[in-house]
Amino acid sequence: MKNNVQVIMNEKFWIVEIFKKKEAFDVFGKEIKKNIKELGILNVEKVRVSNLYKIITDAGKKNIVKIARDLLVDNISEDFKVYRKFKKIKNFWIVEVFFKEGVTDSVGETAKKTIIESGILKKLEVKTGKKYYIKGNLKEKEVKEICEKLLANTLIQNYFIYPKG
Amino acid sequence: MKYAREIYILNADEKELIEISEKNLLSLNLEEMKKIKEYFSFLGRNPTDCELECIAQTWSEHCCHKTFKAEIEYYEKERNVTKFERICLLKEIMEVTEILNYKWCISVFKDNAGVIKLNEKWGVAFKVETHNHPSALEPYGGAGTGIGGVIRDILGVGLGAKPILNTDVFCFGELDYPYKKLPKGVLHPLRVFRGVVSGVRDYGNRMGIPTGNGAIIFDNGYVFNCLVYCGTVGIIPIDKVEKKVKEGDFIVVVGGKTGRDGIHGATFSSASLKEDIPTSVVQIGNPIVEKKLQDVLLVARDKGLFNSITDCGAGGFSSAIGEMGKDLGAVVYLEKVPLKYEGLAPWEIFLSESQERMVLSVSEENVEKLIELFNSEDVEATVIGRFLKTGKLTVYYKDEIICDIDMEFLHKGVPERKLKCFFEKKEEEKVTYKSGNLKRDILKVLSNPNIASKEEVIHQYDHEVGGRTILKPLVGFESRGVSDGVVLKPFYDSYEGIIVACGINPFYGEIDPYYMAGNCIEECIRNIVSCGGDPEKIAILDNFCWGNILDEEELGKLVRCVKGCKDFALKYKVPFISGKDSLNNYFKGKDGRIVSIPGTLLISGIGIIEDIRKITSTDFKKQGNLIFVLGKTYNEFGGSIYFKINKIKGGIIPKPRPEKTLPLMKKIHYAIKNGIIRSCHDCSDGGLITTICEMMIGGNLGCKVDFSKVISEEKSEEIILFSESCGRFVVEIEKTNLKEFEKIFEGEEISCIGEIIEEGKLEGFFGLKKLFEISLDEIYKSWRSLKF
Repeated sequence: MKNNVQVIMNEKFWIVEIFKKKEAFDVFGKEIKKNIKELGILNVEKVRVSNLYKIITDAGKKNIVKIARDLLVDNISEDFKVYRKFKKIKNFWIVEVFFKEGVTDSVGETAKKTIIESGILKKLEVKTGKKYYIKGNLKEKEVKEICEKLLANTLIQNYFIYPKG
Repeated sequence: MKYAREIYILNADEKELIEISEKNLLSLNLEEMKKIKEYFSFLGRNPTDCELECIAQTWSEHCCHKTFKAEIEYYEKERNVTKFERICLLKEIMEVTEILNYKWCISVFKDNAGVIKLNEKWGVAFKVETHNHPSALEPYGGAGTGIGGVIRDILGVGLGAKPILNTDVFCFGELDYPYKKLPKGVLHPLRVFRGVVSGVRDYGNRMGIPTGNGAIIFDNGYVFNCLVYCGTVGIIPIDKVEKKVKEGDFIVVVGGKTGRDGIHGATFSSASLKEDIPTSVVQIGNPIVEKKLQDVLLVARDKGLFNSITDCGAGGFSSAIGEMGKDLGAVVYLEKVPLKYEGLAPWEIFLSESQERMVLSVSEENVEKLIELFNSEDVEATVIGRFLKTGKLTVYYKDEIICDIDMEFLHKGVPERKLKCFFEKKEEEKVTYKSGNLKRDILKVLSNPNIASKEEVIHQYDHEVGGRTILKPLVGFESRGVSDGVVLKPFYDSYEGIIVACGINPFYGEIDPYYMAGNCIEECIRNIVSCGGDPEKIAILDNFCWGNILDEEELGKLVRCVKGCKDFALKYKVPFISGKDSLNNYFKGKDGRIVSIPGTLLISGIGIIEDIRKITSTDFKKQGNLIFVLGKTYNEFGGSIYFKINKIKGGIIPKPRPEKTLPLMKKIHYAIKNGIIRSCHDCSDGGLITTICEMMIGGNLGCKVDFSKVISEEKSEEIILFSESCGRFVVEIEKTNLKEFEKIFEGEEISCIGEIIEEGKLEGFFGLKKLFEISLDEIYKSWRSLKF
């Protein structure tokens, strides 16, 4: 089927990454680690999970930080980073999962509405995704298997693998 | 034409017609395509894409139930005698309700859900839907929107009912299914399972509706096509049950916006799953939008602001508006529909199955008030057209007519299907099996995934929100025990209550779907009765999920099952009030191999009781109390868990015996109502021993049982412990009530088999011989062995 959804390309965006504070229990990371081991991939040592908000806007970093701090983060258990391009991390495979274009992103819609209602920005788009940091002696093939079987449903989601830094 | 595409069918030959149907995912067969060609030849023009899509959705199996309305030639062969019958499945089911003709069945088989009377002012609506295909592809979204959809069904019954309970029943492949055997594109049962459970959890919990009843079945027949049944119960004032669209009413769409999600859901779900699927069939839910919609809708209902309502489910606007305007006609202006994003083709807007939308029919004088009310609650409401007496469904996009077809043709034009099928009754034979080690077998039965505790799943659901749940899905000591059903107290100022339970067992269907139907109906009634329900005030819903019904043998099984439904519902005197069928649950591999699911029938039941203080639960209550078995045990192992774990084929399928069981159930109801029975649990999968173990776990008490006392066809240990005969209950009574108990049950097949003890162990005797002794810890550990 022809997909004639407007693809927003080359637009300016910021990524807000939200992760559990070190002292908080990362229940999703623990769960994913367990599930990876169930796939028969035993070399995994640690998994951390972050939520991503891709905010497509011309606004500056200051506004995005305000949005993140005031609206998106649970300041007790979570912390956040705002960036355009992330750095690779030593020993960790990084996987990003986003919805494909045209798939309804309910959380993104709600975030957009909330940001507009808060009056911080007037025009923007929000896409939500997940980021997985996977530590362990893994081959790219294994990481791909983890993505296909566990992290992304390729029918509605795209995944991107960034090799260990 | 600017906004629609003409589809050239006038000059198409048979082969081209089929090609058009396949290319556009219409799921129409040749005969139907020919009928469409005939209609447009008469009009002297080609159809537009929108018209063709609209007809395809309306005529899909999902929307108009072609198979259930078809005239079927049915041949049944038993011992070389072949009987022939012409049968219409829908009529068979509806006939039950007509014959029983209960006054308390207020609205049956015509609305979004069935409604029965609760008291003089209120009715209860109940509906169960399936969402199998979407859940197989995207478990989280599919199951979530399944729940969302059935909640909207309840919001759309009459002028709107308030949802107060969700139910869910799932069938999955076995969780240890080897990854290597899965074809490309098929998700592993474990992943489907986790996704479905979290989908139902998130949607139900966020809507603030408790999820109180359900079941989970594991069988490798469901690896390619999982089954997800979602149900919702709602309450509605009796004077709001009737609705009627008035001429000149405005068509108002409320709730979510329209996007490209879930296009072709109805036609897609009427086809088989293949290895390549487009993204757009997936639906994604947004419970927060639906929650706001629900709240404001009920306010608008009480203010009398609309005349009719329906939900946008399969087929989107095309089905919802087409259905509402059936007797009048409708004019729709598609450019007015609020969209999620630009770039949708008009037919996509008309067909989209975006979630959380409903369609209202509003009189001119109320339109402004209604829109104002909805906007005040942050819910979108938009006028998109009008119901006018044109007899046509006319759709404009800007200045162009993109759809203009007669309602008559749309709703009555579908060619009647003529189907043929056969069923060959297999000879059932008694099989006896001697267990080498009873204790080991008992623990094995308890740890079987189909028996084992589903506590981990149940705890994820909120079953308390709303504060109406009196008897919860988990009962007894540390909420370990399992309940037969859920009891709700819908009103704060009255003790009236509702009991909801279900019955399902696909394993019996492999032997004979007729008795599977009987067993499911009885299990459902038994569950309600053992909570304290009145067997004379129960209504049931049927949900059929079947495989490839173009296969004459599969269709034969379905017909046989429907016949069972009719016969046994009449014998147990329970009316059907609503139902749904999901056919074509089969997988077609690249090599053309077809894998059908086991034919599965879910019976969901709803019972009304006068006083929720007069119910009981399944957990043992006090040491020293006596344990009775009510009902007789037969050598019936067909489809049983015991044979499954020992890998034995054959055996006799449990036979429902309504002439015995119905009077027994009336007495149980009387005894529970009068406080004689302290705990009550029915015997079903896993046999008597499973029932006793579950009661022990719930009570955190042990018991001493002499199994030779059980009234049985044969005095065999295996039969008494593991046979799954119908019509049996285990009850607990206090010694001081013995005389009264015996008086109530005079003339019935009952026997006292033992006594509850404080020490946590199960001591099993057979006369003087000691069979086994198992500690409660061992029992609990085996029963809790299922880990997700």
